[in-house]
Amino acid sequence: MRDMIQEAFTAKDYLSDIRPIWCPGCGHFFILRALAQAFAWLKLPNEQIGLISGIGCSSRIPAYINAYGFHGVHGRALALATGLKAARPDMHVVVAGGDGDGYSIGGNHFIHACRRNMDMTYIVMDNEVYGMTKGQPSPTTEPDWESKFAPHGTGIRTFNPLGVALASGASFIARGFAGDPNGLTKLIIEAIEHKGFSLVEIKSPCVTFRPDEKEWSKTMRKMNMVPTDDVLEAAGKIHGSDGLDTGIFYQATLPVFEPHSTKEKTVADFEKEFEV
Amino acid sequence: MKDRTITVSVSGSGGSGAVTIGLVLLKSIANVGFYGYMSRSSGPQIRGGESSVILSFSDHPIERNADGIDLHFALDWRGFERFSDEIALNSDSCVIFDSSHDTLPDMVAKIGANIIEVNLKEQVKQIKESLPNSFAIGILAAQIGLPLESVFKALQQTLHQKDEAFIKDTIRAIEAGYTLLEESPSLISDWQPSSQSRWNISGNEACGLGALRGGIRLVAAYPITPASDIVEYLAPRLEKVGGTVLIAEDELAAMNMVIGGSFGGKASMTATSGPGVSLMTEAMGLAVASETPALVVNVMRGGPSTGIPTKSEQSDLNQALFGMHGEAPHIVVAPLSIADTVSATQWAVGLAEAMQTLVILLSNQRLGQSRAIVDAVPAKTYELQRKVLAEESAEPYERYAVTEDSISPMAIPGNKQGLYTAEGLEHTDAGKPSSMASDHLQQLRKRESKVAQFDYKDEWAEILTSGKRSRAIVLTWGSTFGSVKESVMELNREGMAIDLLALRLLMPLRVDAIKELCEDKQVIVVEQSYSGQFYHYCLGQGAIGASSLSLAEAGPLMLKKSDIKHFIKEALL
Repeated sequence: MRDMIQEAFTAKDYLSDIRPIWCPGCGHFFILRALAQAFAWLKLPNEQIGLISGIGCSSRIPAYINAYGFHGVHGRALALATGLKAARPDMHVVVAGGDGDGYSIGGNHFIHACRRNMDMTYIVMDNEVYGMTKGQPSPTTEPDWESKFAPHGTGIRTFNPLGVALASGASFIARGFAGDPNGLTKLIIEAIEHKGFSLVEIKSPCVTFRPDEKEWSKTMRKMNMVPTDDVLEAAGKIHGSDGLDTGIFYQATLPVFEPHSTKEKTVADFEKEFEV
Repeated sequence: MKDRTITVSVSGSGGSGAVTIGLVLLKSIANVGFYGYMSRSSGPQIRGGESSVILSFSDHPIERNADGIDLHFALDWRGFERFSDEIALNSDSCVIFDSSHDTLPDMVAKIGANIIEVNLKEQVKQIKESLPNSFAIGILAAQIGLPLESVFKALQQTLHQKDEAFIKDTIRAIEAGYTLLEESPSLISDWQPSSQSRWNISGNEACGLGALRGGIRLVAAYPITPASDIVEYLAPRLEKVGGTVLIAEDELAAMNMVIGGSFGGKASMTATSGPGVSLMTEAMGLAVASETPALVVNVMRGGPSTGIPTKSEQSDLNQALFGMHGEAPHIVVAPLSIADTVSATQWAVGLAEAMQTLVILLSNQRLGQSRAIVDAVPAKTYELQRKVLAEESAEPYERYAVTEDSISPMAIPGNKQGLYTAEGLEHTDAGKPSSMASDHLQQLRKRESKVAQFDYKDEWAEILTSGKRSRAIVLTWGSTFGSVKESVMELNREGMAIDLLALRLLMPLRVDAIKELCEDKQVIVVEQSYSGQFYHYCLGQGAIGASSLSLAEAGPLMLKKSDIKHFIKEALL
C-alpha cells in the first residue's frame, strides 16, 4: 500500500517538460529536484500549489514545476504571493527567487513578508551574484569580489538574510545547500509544513560567474544546526555562523496573519447607510 | 440665486468646526427634500490648520459649486488668505464673521460685500457646553431659511455618539443662533422638494460602493491623500461580504498583491494617487502582459512629484494613457460625477474581469472628497464576467490561446485541468517564455485586439445634444463635466445650439464615434490640466480636427462656469 502511494507521487509528477535555461552544473538544478521531491513527499495536489517568482535565473523555476505559477516582475514575488494567499488561503504558496530579487530590489517586501508571517514558504536560491545579467555583485556578494560592475569590489558588507528574517518576525529560518539534496529536501518539507512564514535560504553555486563557489561542496557543513524557538539563542547562532552552517536555525509558533472574512452582510446593507 | 441655487461657504482655523457645520447643513438640506454639494479645502497641517467648505444647495441635483458665494461665515479669519482663491466673495455676497477673535481683514473689506458682525464669545458664555460653530449653524440655517427641525435631525445624524448634555446644549446654541440676527426672507421658499429617494455620499465612498457592486474581493493599498478614504470605506465592509483589505508596505507591493489576488480568482483592486501610480507602473504592465484582471483607482491630485496632495487636477491623464513601457493596451475609465462614480467603478471592475487586463479609473480630489446629496444610484447589470476554464475541461490547456474575441479562458488555481504559469515575459499561447518575433506579434495582437474589439455599449460617454443643428460641441471628461454641462445647458437656453460629449472611456478612444459627433461643428475641449493633455490626446488620435479649440486650466481651482461660457461664446463669435 505504502509503495503504491509512493508510486503515485514522485518528483516527476511535479516537473514540467520545459527545459531549464540554467547552465550545466548550476546549483539550481538540485534545488528544483529537491522542491519536486518535497512536493511528492507531502503529496500536495499540483493544482493546490502556487509557485510565485520574480526575475532572475532562479525565478524561472515556476515554468519547470507542474503547478500554478506566476513569473512576475523583479523583486515583487513575495507581494504577489501575499495577494494570492490572502485571496486563496487554501493554496500552498511557495515563493522562489534569487539573492538580488529577494534581498536587494525586493528587500522591503522581504521584511514585511517576515513581519506578516503568513503561511507560505520562501526559497531563496542564493548564489551571491546576479547571473542573468552576467555577473554583477548582489547584497550577499563579499565586499572585495571584483567584477566589471565593481572593479574594486563593492566595499559594502554582505547582507545577513537570516538575521533580518529573525528581526522581522519570520517564524521558520533555515539555511540549506544545493549540494546536499537530501538535507535540502527535508528542509523544504519542514518549511512547507511549518505554519507561518518559512525562509529557506539555499547556497547554490553559480558555476559560470562564481566558479569559486564550487568550493562550497567541501566547506558547507551539512545539516549541523539544531532548531531553537528562542529568539536570543537563534540570534546567537545566526550571527555566530560563518555562513557555512546549514539546517533550521529558528522555528517558533508565532501569530500568523490570516485575513478573516465573513459573509454576514450584503452590498444592499451598505447601500442603506447612504439613505437620507 | 436666479437658477435656484445658493452657495454658502464656511472657513476657520483648525478645530473651529467648519467641516462639521458643512456636514450638518448638507444633511439639513437633504432632510427638507433638496439637493446639495459640499467641497472642502484644507491647509497642509495635519491638525490645527485652516479648513473650509463650500456648499451649494438646490432643488435639483447639483454636483458643483456655483461660481460666486452667496453667504460666507468666517469662524475666524486666520489663514483665510489661503482660501481666498476658492471662496470667491463678491459685492453681492453676505459675509458673517465672529468678531470676538479678530477684525475684518482689509482684503475682505475692500470687496464691498454686505458684512454682518456677530460676537460668538458672548453667546458661548450664555450656554454651558456650547461651541461657537453651533451658533453659526443656527445663524446660517436662519439665513438660508431652513426649518429648525431639519437641522436638529441633521445634528442627531451627525453627532450620534456624543453625550446627551452636549447635544442638549448644542441644540440650545443652534436655537439661539437661529434668532440672533434680524429675520431675513427664506432663500428656499419657492423650491420644490424632491420625492426621490436620495443618498448622502462622497465620491470616494461612491467608488467603494461601486467596487462592492462590481464584486471586488481583495483590496491592497498603501495610504495616500486623497485616496485613503476609499480604503477606509472598504476596510470594515469588504470583510463582511467575504473579502479582504491588505495593508501593503508600499505601492509596488500593493499592485503586486492585487495581481496575486486576481490570479487566485478574486476580483482585486487598489486605490491610490499619482505618486502611487508611478510606483505601481511596472506591475501594471505585468497585469497587461500576464492578462490578469486588475483595477487601479487613481484619485488625482496636483503634480508632479509630491505636488499638491490635498487639491485637485486632471493632470495624470498622460500617465494613465502612456505610463507603461512597451506596448501595453489597457483601459482608462473616468467617472463624470459623484453619483456616476458608483456605476463607473462597478463598470471598471467588470471591464477588467471581462477583458482580463488592467483598468485605470481616474477620479480626482474634487470628485473623491466632495460630498453630495444625489438621487439614489440603482445597481446596474453589466453582464461582465471573467471567462474561466471549466473544471471538467478535457482539452489540453493553453492559457494565452488566441480566440475569436482574443480573450482566452483563465484557469483558476485549484482547477486540475488548468495548471499554467502566468508570464510577464513574452510567451507562446501555451504560456511558455518566448522571445521569438512571431510569438511576440501574436500576443501583441491578442492583447490589443481584445480591448479594441470589445463592445463598450453606451457607457463610453454621456452625450447631450441641443436638439437643433448645433454649431459647436464641447468635449470634456471627468469632474469638469459638472461645470461644462451647466455652461452648455445655459447657453442652449440662451439660444445657442451646442452639444456636449463627456467621455467615460478614455482608452481605447472611440475615435470614429467622436469624429461622427464632432462633424461640421466647432470642437471645444475643456479640461483641468495646464498643458491640455486631453486636447492633445484627442488631436493625436485623430478624433478631432486641427481647428479644435482648447480650454485647459491648471488645478486646483474648479473651472468656473462663467469662464467656460465666455470661452465658448468667444469661440463662436
